Amino acid sequence: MNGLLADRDKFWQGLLIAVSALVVQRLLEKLYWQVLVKIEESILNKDSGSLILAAGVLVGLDSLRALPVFLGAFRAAEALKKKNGVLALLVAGMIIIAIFTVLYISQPGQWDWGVPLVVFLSAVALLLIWGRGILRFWHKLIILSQLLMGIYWLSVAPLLTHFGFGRGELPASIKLAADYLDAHGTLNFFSFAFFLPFVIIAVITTGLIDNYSKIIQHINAAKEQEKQIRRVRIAAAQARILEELHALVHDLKTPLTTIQGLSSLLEMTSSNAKQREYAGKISQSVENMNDMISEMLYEEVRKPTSVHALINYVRAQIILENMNQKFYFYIEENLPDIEVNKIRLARALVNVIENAIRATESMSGGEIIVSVKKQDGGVKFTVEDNGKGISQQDLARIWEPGFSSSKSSGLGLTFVRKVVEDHGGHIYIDSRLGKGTRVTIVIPRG
Amino acid sequence: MRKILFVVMFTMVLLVSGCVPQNERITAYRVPHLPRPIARERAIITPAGQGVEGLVISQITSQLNIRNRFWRKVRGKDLSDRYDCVIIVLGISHGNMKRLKTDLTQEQQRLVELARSAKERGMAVVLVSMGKLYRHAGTDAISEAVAPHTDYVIVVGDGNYDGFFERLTAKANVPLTIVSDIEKIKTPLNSVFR
Repeated sequence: MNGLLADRDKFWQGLLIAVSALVVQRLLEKLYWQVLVKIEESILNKDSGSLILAAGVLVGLDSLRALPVFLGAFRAAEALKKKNGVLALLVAGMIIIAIFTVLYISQPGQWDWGVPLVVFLSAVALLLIWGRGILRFWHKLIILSQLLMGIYWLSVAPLLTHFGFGRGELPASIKLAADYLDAHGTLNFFSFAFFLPFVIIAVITTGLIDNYSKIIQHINAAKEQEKQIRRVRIAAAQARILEELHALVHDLKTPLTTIQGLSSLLEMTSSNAKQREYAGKISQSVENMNDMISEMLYEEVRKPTSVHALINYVRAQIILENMNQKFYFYIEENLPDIEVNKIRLARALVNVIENAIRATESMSGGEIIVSVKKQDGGVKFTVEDNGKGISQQDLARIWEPGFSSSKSSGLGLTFVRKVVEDHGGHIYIDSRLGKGTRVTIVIPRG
Repeated sequence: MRKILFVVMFTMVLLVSGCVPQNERITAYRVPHLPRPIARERAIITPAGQGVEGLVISQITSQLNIRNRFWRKVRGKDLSDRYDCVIIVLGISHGNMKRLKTDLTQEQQRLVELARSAKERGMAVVLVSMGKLYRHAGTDAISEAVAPHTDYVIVVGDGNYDGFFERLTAKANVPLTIVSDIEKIKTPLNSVFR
């Protein structure tokens, strides 16, 4: 059975709803007696108006009793896998027959299969064929109520008795009273006058819901398209910014060349030893800066770097003033040097740490732990915080360009992943809403 | 051609005669109404199964200016000289039976005892069925139990669709009237008293 079910819970919910009809019948029992009283009143007072009223009350009660049966049966049928269409029909039919049989046994004299059969066929057409996949529980409730309120009127139409409608005790009593009051025509008229509008309304409701859900689908598709366009625009903007940044950084090299040339000249021509020493230091710094610019400009530039030096460089870029959070750095001893683009990897680590700072800034007792350990010959960087965390829904989207769970640009993590992957490393994020986030970056030795 | 026509006609006659219901062979005492009255007013009308059918017959009897009392749970001990006829109207309502705290077995016992007491007092007992829609296994059982004490049976519409009442009345040697609809019941009902 489990192999046939697409949604096990939905199936059992359906059965439970269908079985609840037995409780409904029990609750309605005294109201059914009132129908009998009304029929007798109409006979005693020779009042066909009271008889129509009694018929209306009976239709209402029968509809109320049958509603959970059909609602539950169709819910259970929908829980089956989509490919089992015929089986779904059979399941719905079997549940309806079983529950009605129990209902009829527990309330003798109500045996009547004409109306349930017509309701079943109409509901199959509207709910299982036309409305499959688009109707929600409340839609079905409304449509089924309309169908039942319409079709149950057929049970009191004397015209249809020979076709198997209204053979239960109460409909038969109403028909007998109509016979006595010579109100056959009136009862037939009212039966069809209520049957047709209710059934037509049920069909219109299904059509309206169908149209509405199609419109909603179009709107959702348009929204998704809009989102994709936005992502593409952001990616393009990011590329443009990086390009401009590249050009700017490249331009820094021109004055550096002049500084380096002149300081070399000064070093060679100066007779003062102090001046020569200073000029040498300027040349060295310019060379370092030149290297840094090269690392910024060229992703593929890698140099053996000490992890301690990298972490010190990262720490130098984090402004720790006026911060409520506690910061802990745990760096393992004897870490191997790693061959990396120091500037880019440091920037990536700073991005991750800045995210942790943002996640803990509006709370008391915020803690950020940065630890670095050896792992599989490489190095594992872990940035852990006890901040607000990220929901599972957002966690699935954090790598999308432009997505941000905070008010940042949304480009940070995309850049981090790119840098890590460029180094042949991996990045993992674990987070629990309200508990905190842990970002793990593993960089191979190179 | 004539031979073929003759064979076809002959076959059809055979088929038609074969289709005649077996009921026709029952020697039922079917009458359009009673030839002479069998009871005097007042009548007690009681439903066999507490259906609304009894109330309808009570109303029709009143329209005929026949004094009657609609008595849902009348018993043999309730009979008195004020009444000369008991009309038992078949029709089951489980709702009414539950409301009146009775069931089919009790109803059958009540009616058999009522019919027997009525006979002992020399009262007329009339059994009325309102048609196929109002017949159940329960009403048939009551009919069979009451029939030996009955003086007259009236059936409306298709109530005798399976020949049940013809067999019943033939066995009990009781006159039977079958009328086409509820309006036509007035004549046989009137004939009980006038």
